[in-house]
Amino acid sequence: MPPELGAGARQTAARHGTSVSTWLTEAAADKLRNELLGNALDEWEAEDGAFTEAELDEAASRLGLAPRSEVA
Amino acid sequence: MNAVLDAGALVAIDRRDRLIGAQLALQLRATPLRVSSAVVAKAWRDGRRQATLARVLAGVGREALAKDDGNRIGEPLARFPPLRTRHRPLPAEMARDLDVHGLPGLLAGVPLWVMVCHCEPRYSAGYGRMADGIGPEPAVRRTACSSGFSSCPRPADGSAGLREEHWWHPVLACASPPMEPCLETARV
Repeated sequence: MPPELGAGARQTAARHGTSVSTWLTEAAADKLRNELLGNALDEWEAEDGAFTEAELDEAASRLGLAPRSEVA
Repeated sequence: MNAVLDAGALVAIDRRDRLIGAQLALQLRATPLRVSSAVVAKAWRDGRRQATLARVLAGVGREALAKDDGNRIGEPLARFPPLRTRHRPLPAEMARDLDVHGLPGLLAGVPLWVMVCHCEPRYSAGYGRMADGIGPEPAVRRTACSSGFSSCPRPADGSAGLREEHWWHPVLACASPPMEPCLETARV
């Protein structure tokens, strides 16, 4: 692990009041779950069609985000 | 920062609501998703019939309620007027108002004794909500509630029986006349 990354991990773990190993485990778990969620959404879109720009814009609005068309 | 899914969001996922799917797609690149085990219990009925929900939940971190979280969530419900509480407490909003941060404040109101009614709303005003777990920004992105219901039929279509659920404060539930036929009491 690069020293800067290690230092950042230690600082962040300390800020969260947890150990570095626990923090790294949680980070890995989040990344893995994100991958699984992406797979689930890929399957959803494969079965029902890709989410349209209109749907994503509406979703962004519901989430309080700027419409994707404005971001792009 | 985490995004927390409530029971309405899980119901929407199970119904393959494309709006909640699009929200998940946007959230995928932003923040990790979390859900409480209590909320999963509200939405999970039969994994064989809930493939989409099962796949999505595999990508969502689950959190358990701590011992005192029920009290912390339940007690503030008394501050809400009956009408609002009847249709659905807005725990994320409560969390912000009451400065209760983190997952417990975002869960559906779960007093020690809760009554869960498996009802089909007469009109569904939409369901599914994703809320920020941390941060000062408005937590409730979309409220999940129905505008009313008059009866509580059991599912007769062979489905898993998943319905939008309404959590009731026990005291208020006692004063709610039309619910008795389908009230279930669950210890949380």
